[in-house]
Amino acid sequence: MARLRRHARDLRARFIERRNPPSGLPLTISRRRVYILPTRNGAVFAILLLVMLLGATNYSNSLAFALTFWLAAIALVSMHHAHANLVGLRLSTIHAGPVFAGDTLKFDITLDHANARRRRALRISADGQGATTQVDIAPGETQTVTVEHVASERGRCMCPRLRVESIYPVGLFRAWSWLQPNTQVLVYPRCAGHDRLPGGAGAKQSSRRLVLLGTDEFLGHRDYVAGDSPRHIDWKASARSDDLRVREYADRQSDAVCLTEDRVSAADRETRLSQLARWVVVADRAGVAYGLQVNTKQFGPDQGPAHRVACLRALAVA
Amino acid sequence: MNSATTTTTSRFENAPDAGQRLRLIVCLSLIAIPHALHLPIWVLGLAVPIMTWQFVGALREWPLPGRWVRFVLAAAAFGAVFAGFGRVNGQEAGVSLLVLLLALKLCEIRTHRDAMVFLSLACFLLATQFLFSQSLAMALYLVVGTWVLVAAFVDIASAGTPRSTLGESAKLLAQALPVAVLLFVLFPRIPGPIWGLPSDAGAQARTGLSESMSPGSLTNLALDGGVALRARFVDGDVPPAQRYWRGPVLWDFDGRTWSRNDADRRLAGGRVEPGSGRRQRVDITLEPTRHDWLIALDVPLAADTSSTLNAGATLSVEDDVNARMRYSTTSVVGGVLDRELDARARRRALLLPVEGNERARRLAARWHAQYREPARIVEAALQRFRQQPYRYTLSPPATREDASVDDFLFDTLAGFCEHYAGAFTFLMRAAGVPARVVTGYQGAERATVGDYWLVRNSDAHAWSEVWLAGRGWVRVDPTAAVAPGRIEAGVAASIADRSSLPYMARASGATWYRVQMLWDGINAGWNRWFLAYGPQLQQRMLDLLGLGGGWGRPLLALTAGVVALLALVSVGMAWRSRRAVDPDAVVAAWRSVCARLARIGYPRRADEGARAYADRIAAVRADLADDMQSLAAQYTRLRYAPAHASRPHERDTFIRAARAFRPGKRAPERRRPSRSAS
Repeated sequence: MARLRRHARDLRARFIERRNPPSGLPLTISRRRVYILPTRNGAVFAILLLVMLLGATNYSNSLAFALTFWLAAIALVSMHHAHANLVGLRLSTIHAGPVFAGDTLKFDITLDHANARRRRALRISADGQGATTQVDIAPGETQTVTVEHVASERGRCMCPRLRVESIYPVGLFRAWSWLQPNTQVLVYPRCAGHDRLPGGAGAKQSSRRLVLLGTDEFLGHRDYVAGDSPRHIDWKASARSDDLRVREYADRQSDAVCLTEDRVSAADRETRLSQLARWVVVADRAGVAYGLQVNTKQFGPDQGPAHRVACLRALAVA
Repeated sequence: MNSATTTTTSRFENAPDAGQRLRLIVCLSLIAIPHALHLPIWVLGLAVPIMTWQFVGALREWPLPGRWVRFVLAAAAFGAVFAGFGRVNGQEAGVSLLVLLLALKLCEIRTHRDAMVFLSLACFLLATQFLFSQSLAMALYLVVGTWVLVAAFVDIASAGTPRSTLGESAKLLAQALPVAVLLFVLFPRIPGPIWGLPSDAGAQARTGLSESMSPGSLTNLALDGGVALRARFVDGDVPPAQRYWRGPVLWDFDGRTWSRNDADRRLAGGRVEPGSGRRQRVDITLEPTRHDWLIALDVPLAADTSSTLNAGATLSVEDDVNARMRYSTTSVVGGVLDRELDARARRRALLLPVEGNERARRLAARWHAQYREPARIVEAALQRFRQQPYRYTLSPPATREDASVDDFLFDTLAGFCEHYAGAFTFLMRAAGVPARVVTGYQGAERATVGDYWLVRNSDAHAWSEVWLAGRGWVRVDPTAAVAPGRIEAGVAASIADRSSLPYMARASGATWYRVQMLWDGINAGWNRWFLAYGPQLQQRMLDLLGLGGGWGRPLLALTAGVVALLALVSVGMAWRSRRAVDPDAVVAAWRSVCARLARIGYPRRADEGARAYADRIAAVRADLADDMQSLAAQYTRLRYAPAHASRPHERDTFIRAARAFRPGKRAPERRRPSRSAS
């Protein structure tokens, strides 16, 4: 039984994938991609109509017949309204900032349409998971909805398949469609690791203390970054603000640090990349110049947001 | 601008909020109002406080009552209905229970599903209204009720403004109407009832003729101005003296009451001699009688429904007439009915109680001895009614239980038609002339609107038939002997105490009367074409449309019609939504900027984004560079940045700036050096 169910689920998944290959933006819901079925309430309503029909027959009551037939006709017409509510809806842009693996990707999706019909009660969700967002879209209007997706691995992450559905206008039928944009978002390696940031390129590791946060001159506070030691959190300062605050120290005399894979103690590749990513973040926060060597490519040494992004991107696809 | 709402509770639907619950309560009140007219007052006394409580609760956002409170209230509702009606099913009890349970259901609308169940039951409640009345006013109510109900469905599904939900509902109703009409006309109707009517069904059915006749029974009917039937004479009008509408024939007399008997079905007779009399076709719309006979013009030959003619020449049907019914009859006026009298029928037509009403028996015996000839005996009786001071009145003095005929004939000398018909038939039987009582209606008034005639309950009448050798059953109306005007001009013209008669039976010519008649004309059309539309009328309609013979063709036509109409709706919607798009104000403003630049010779290329365009313009027109780049930046941000990053005022700023942007055909001379210098 369980196998049968799994088999059915696989079949369904394959059917949906075959029908919805990833495609470039803008994506428009076409007439043939809208599916429609009665809701459970629709089924209950159908039974009610049947009972009313029997009652009307039993009492030979013409007005009861009229009401029954009118309600049935309204249900039928509403099916076409539910269909038209989705057809022509356009997914025009998708924005998602890069995140570290393990964090939640937020896809900001803009929806619009080129019709004079107001789209009502559209419900958008990542297919089969997470929260649902309900929007109305007036003619010419653009609506942005955010769909969340947990980025589990580094690398390029495909935007999840979106499910757009609506029970408008009367809740007796549900129309839905799947959208599979080919938009990809870069996911940086997980920001983790406990190794200390290596010293500057020219420093002697044995004689000099490593450039290490929390040792030298106090610079001020900064926001908590995943992986910071709890010992560095300034609880008093944190209590005054919404975020956790970390005391930051720096060694201004330090030279640029060179971050390479062989400086990481871990043996596993992913763990090493995670450590490198964390070093990049920490070094960036600390205002230290750093260079990164991944595979055969060398970045820096340098400083600043652009360099940080370049390094993290390199780690993401390494 | 961004009205997106995120829910994490349910994958599908939002739970109804307080506003939606308020609107559900309003909707229920609207649906239940007409029930207030016929349900017992205590039902309202229970339902209204519950609804008010929930209304205030929704306003103040009180929490919904707990499970135990609801359980106790529901049990109380069942108990109250059972105590009030002695049962929980049946028409009135069932509707009362439905009203109470719907009011209680308000207390537990937590989820979308609850609201949908509530609304479905409300649809059912709306349908139950029509068990009590099917008037034109109720038809109007059906439209309003459906409109509000569907709006409530839309509200639950989308949480729009009341204006938009009512608008959407009206659109749905209008688009569904042709489909509904098609279903109404072509959907196969089977004859009801399916499971039998509860004993209190058709409480709205008017009083009419009954299966028996005793002194006073028709008098009550004469006070009822309601319509009994509407008739259309196909072969030209029938003179007033011939307007006898035959109902049940009563054979049995127990000393006071004339009644009919199931044994009557086994009697032979009811045959009109072929070739005698004049044929007259009449279409009749009969109000529900809750009896198994049909009324027809005297004497019917056949009707187009599955009816049979019994020995009394009354049309009878298999099941009681519980709904308004239309049928066509063929009658014979002045024909010979039963030239030969069956022996059993003769025995029945002469049967009298063993004793009672001795004075009448003695009088009959004297006539029998004196005249011998049945026709002369009949004449003698009529002569008596004419010559003695008999009165025709709606309020005759009371008679003794066991000697009603004697008292009427010899003491009170005052009665209504049932007294005369009963006494006359008694006298005939006592004198050895086969006789029977016929009840029905006498008279008809022409409708002022529409080609039909109205017969009212106040036209109820009773007369006699005697069987004469060679002539068959002959109608004798003793009332005509006493009050000739009754036959020619109706009850009102022949009775002294007119004021007790219903208005519609006595007044004619007054304005109000004409208005009433107009209204009746509209109602008659409504009854004839809409309310009477059942299996028979449908069959006739199908024959007319060329779809007769089996259900195959009508069903095919129905399916094709519904599909075609729905396709039309679908195409209509697509066509309308393709029309003039009202672009976003931001896009419109940007387009106008581009249009102005195109006019001065710098059109935007199709492949050019806003920023690239601005850069190109800036390169050739330094005077426009600042404005243009600022506009492009704002536009790009408004269009492509995540919506939560932009604020409404940015939008307004951009639109204002775009409107103010008026590029000159040429760069101003003075400004160019200063720009290039900087």
